[in-house]
Formats: sequence, structure tokens, C-alpha cells
Amino acid sequence: MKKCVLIYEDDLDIMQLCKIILTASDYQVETRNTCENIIADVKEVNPNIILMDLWIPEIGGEQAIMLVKQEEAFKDIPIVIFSANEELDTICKRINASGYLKKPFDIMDLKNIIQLHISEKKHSEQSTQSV
Amino acid sequence: MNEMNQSALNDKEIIPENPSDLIQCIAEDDYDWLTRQLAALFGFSDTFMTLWDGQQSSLKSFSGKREQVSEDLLYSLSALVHSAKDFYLIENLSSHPQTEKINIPSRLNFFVGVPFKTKAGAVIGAIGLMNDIVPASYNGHQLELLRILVMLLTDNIELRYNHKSQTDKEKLINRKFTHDLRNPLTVISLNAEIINMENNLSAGVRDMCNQVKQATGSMNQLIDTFAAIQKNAQ
Repeated sequence: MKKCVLIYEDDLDIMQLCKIILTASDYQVETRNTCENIIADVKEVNPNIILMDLWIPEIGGEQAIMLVKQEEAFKDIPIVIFSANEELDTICKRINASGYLKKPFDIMDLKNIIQLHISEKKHSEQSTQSV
Repeated sequence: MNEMNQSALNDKEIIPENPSDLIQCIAEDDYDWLTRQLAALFGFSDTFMTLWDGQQSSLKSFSGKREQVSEDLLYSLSALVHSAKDFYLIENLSSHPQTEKINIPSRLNFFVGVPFKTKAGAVIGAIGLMNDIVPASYNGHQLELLRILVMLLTDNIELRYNHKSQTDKEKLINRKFTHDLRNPLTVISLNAEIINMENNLSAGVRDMCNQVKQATGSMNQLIDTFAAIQKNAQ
């Protein structure tokens, strides 16, 4: 079964390019250009990972991520922030995101970070089950 | 972005929407220093400075016997000063209608206060000086000096506010500028990579894709340098 990536990005060109790249890498990709309904989106899509732009309407990526982290059912979904923001490392730690991708990025950067965090989630689930 | 830049660059003088924005531009140490200086300069026993945020006063500094002077007295006096055009003078505090019901130390009778007023006329605070009698060193000339001092201080606060506002706007514009350049760079760079992945490209087109990729990398380095310079400058 294909792993699902939910992308939040208000720049439609970048959103489309990410979708092309990840679809070609055998992921199922869902996209949104606003994040105010993130909880409903996550319930509907049930993603394996979320790729979140930070400067996105209406509530902004940081706030949206915090909403997801507050939900017991979704708090363990890996969230990778991607942005052209200067302080991604600091923001990533502050909001407890799984990782970050600084724009501009390469195709390999995108594929690697998605694969990394989906694999980490899988390993952590396997460890939990074996315990 | 363009509209925001234009608006920011056109602003020669920034008018604060709220007096408390101005007040935040005064360093805490400055209140104490100035209050002490005024007490020494004019020979008053007790000197204070309060700030008005548009809704309530707050005491920022006091020079003298603070434990003997109630906040009721300081805020009542500040309110009187706020309503004054240039200054407010009381020769007998205990018989003044606004302060007669307040417990006032017997050593304090004479009061003079000057409001902090911005150029736009907004009151942002008051400075008050109290003593038992009119101090020997105090006269009409001293009062004029006090008014000028307060006016200079208010100008200084406004200047600091304008500087801070301008700096904040520049920071915002720079952040927007670097952010809005990196997004299209991402699009150009990814498109060049995707085209380059096609199997049937001629060597010439493949070279072009590589050139685009390298050029976007160089542009991104320039943006990084610009952002680093801006960060260091702040």
C-alpha cells in the first residue's frame, strides 16, 4: 500500500512540483493550500507524513502543527516543515516538528527527508510493538 | 510585497497608534536616572515619573522617601498634570480639592508637574516634583528649564520609537524579500532538475538545465549572504 504524504503549500507551483516528484517516487500525495482545517484534513486523508509550509494561510504552519500535536490520535504523525524562512532549525525545535527542508531544495533533498521520516516512524512503531 | 515595501519606504515619520508603543521605547534605567537628576537639579525632596498608556498610569521611578508617599497621591497628581497644557502647580497639597482626601506626608506641600506630550498632542506620562516649600533653587527660569527637559525627553522617546518602527519594518521587508526570492528559485531549480531527468534530451538542452541549476544555486548563495549581512547588522 502506498504511503500517503499530505502537503500544505500556498505556492501552487511548488505544490505541483512536489506532487509530481513524490508521485513519481510511488507516494500517494494529497495537497492543501490553506491549513485552517488541518484536523479535518488529517482525519480525512490519514497521512503517513505531513509536509508543511510555514507561511501559509490562514493560521500559519506553526499554529497548524501545534493543533495536530495536541490531538492524541495524530501527535505521532511525522511533520516536516519546509520554508524559505531563515530560522527553520529554531522553529523546528520550538514546535517539535520531525524535520525541516529549506527552500530552495533539490529533488533528492525532498525524497530523502520524506523517506527518512516515514522510515523512522515505521521503526518506532515496530519497536513499540516488540516491547 | 510591493505594496508593503512602497508603504514602508514612503513613511518618513511613523505615528504610533497607541501611546504605550512609545512608552516601550524608554529603557528602564533611563527613568531612574532622569528622576534622580531632576531631584538634584531643582532641589526637590521627592520626584517621580509616571507613564500613561491611554487607560491607566503606572509609576516608573521615584526619588525620595517612597514609603511615605501613596500611589493614590502619585496617580491623582499625574491625572491633574495630564490635563495641564504646560505644567500644573499646587502650593498646598493638603487643601487641593483633588488631593485633600488623600493621606499626604506633612513634609510635602508644594508640587509642580509637567506632562509628557508627543508632537501629536498625546499624553504619555507625567513628571512630578514635591517639596515642603518652594525650593530655594526653584524659580520661573527653572520651571521653563523643566518644561524644556521634558519636551526633549518626549522628543527622544518619539525618535527612539521611530527608529525602532523603521528597523522593525526593514527587518520585515528583508524577511519577505529573501522568502519571496527563494520560492521562485525553488520552482526554477526543481523544474530544471525534472527536465534534466528526461531520457531523450539533447546534450545542449541538458547543459542548459545544468546551467539553470548552477545559476539558481549562485542566486541562493547571494540571498544567503544578504540575509546573513542583515542579521549581523541587527
